Amino acid sequence: MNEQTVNRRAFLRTTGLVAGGAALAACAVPGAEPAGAGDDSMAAEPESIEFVSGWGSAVEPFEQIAQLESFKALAGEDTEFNVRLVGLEDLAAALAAGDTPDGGSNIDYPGHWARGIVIDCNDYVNGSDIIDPSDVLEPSWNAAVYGSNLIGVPSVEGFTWYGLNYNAKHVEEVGLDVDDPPLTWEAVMEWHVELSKFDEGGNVLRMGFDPVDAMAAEPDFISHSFGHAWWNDEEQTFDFDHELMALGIETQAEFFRHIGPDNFAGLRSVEGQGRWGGSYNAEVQSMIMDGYWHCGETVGEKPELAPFNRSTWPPVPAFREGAKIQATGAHMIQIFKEANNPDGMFKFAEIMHTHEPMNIIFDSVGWIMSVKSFIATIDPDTYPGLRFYLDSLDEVTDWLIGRRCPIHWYLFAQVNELREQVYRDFMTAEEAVAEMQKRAEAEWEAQGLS
Amino acid sequence: MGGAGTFVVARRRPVQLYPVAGRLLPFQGDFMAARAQAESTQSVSRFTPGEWRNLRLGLLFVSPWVLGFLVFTIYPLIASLYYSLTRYDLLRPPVFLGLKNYTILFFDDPHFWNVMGNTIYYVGFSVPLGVGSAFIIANMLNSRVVARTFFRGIIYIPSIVPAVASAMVWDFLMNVQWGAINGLLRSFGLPIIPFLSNPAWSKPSLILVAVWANGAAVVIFLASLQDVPRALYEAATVDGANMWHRFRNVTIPITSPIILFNLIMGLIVAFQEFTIPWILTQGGPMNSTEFYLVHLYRNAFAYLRMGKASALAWILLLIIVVFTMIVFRSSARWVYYGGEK
Repeated sequence: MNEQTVNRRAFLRTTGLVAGGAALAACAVPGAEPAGAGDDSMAAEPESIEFVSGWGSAVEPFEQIAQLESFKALAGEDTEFNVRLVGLEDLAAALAAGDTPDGGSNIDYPGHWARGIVIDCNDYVNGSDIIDPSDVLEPSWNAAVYGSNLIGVPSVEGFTWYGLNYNAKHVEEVGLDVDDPPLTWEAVMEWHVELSKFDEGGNVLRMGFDPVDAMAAEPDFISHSFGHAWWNDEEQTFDFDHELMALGIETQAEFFRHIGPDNFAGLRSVEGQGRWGGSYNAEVQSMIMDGYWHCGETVGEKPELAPFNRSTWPPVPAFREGAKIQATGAHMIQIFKEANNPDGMFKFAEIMHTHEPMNIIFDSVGWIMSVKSFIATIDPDTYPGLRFYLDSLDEVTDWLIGRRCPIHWYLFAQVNELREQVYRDFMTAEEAVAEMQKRAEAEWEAQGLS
Repeated sequence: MGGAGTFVVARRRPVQLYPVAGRLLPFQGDFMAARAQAESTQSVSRFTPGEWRNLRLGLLFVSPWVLGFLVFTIYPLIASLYYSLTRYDLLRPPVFLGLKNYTILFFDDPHFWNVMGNTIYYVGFSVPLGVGSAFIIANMLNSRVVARTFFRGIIYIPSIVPAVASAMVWDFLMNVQWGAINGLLRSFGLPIIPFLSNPAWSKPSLILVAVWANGAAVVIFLASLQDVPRALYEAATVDGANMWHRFRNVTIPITSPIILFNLIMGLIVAFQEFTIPWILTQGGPMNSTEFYLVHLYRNAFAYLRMGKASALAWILLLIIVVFTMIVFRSSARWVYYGGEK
């Protein structure tokens, strides 16, 4: 009996130790070097590039580009390229946990730079035989320049951001002139009224223009349209509390009031219609403020609608009639300070400056790199509406480099919230911009950026 | 206890035990040697080798749970308390701020008190309504109604439907444009209801959804109702009690511990409501459904204000503790524990 008891305990102890040992062994560093292995075996290991993208549709083109012979020749035949889709919180959690990718795109570029987690790419670019900054549209290249630093390599996309797109079928249907689109907010309002449709109960069936869909929602757009800049890049200060900002918000509010705030919220809450451009694709919205990508994306997402897509200059107030505003920015490749393979990451950024990857991106998602030699090869009629964006380059009177502020996305949410209070008449536009100023300054300090 | 005793272990003959230093030790023939051995053992440890062995084995067996508890519960708890005293955005190391996150929340935050108001409104209506309706439904299902088993099953279904799925269904039902309910109203020429699109309607609409998904409480009430002794009802009937009297003076007191349980669980769940408002309204319209956890999530994962979000989490913990204590304290007046205090 006694022997059996002792044996059982011994057995449990032994198996426990063996299981624990096995678990520890399984957790051991996988890269432990076998005895006798030297530097050669390490050198033989294939390199890998870990890349993250904040936009799902770009993942597949990135994977295709990594398979190009030209990239393999540049990065090494055995180089593995791993791309994964991440959200803001996924990436932040990965960075906090030390699981740092080598680089990323479609992420919070100025936010990452302001927080010191990405490198200045000037030295890389200066030493590159492939990247020619002079071949990139100046505003697009400058979108990555902060002071004397290059916070990423403009390498994925970066062309014109603003255009009023409209559904020609709807316009003709209500008897408006397709070839004489509105160029001022006052004229857009007239079209909005004509194009919006209601049933007998006053429920909206179609809205002419959603003033917060796509690019129109951003504080950059409304301030630029009214000839104001709320963000001073050099001094890093805010100027929301300004009459032009208030006038812009009040102008947008009128569009909501015509539809009815509850109707508007209901229309946007329908599955698919709340997302970027969803209402336009569903044909319950006739006009949308969007970038050049809208043309290609509409072909991909709603091919039957694409032939009716037209585009023109974004609206400005009547007192600025004639101003032709445009904006740009750069979807760049940022390289993280803690990257294991920054050289490999830069090689991927470099290959993106050749025409083959640019064509892959353009053909798959309609995105355009602002490389002049590439733009010259684009057929303006590839996608309906694209011609305007290409032609607009020569006529722009007011350029804006957008999304420069490191807390842009926080401010974006605040503007939306306060604008809703304005169009529901809970506060005036003047009160909204004053509150906006207060929140912007408070957040700037709270984030430790002051 | 103080004298010698006999203790049978897994040996063939009994062993004499003697008290030494407050413990019973086996007598091996030399009492003084045994005492010296015991005292020497005690100076090193309070455990016998056998007890040590048992302790080691015991710890080995509970270690997976203990490790999990330490790593996934205690560590995050302590870490969040620390982070609540810092500015932390995941991208940079935390910076110690003391109580600044808390003071900003209470005195400077443009959203905090609105969020508190929304949450208290939601809890204040959804919990009593949820518990009350569940209790009434359970009583109905405990009576002799037609197809009782069918109804008992169907009432539980909302509780097992994933929250995301039920949110989508409610979205289709309550949409101001194409929702089924408004379609019906419109077909009768009645005014439509902007359930989720109007700040005045949004919170009541979400409360309706919460009350609808209260099948779990119904099942718990049903179990307790079936445990009420028939003899009490019979005695009450003999004493001339009608249905209301029996309900008021027998059913409610006997099931009051379960009412308390459902009330406290309802409070905790309602304070932490997230999925349904996030999917249906994302805090809108005009922040009217920005409940506490939605706000906490937004701060943590949209704005990366981990310090502030941690402070919000600790404030929520205290709020829930305070509300739970109030309910517990009040329970002495209305909860009946079978005659025992």
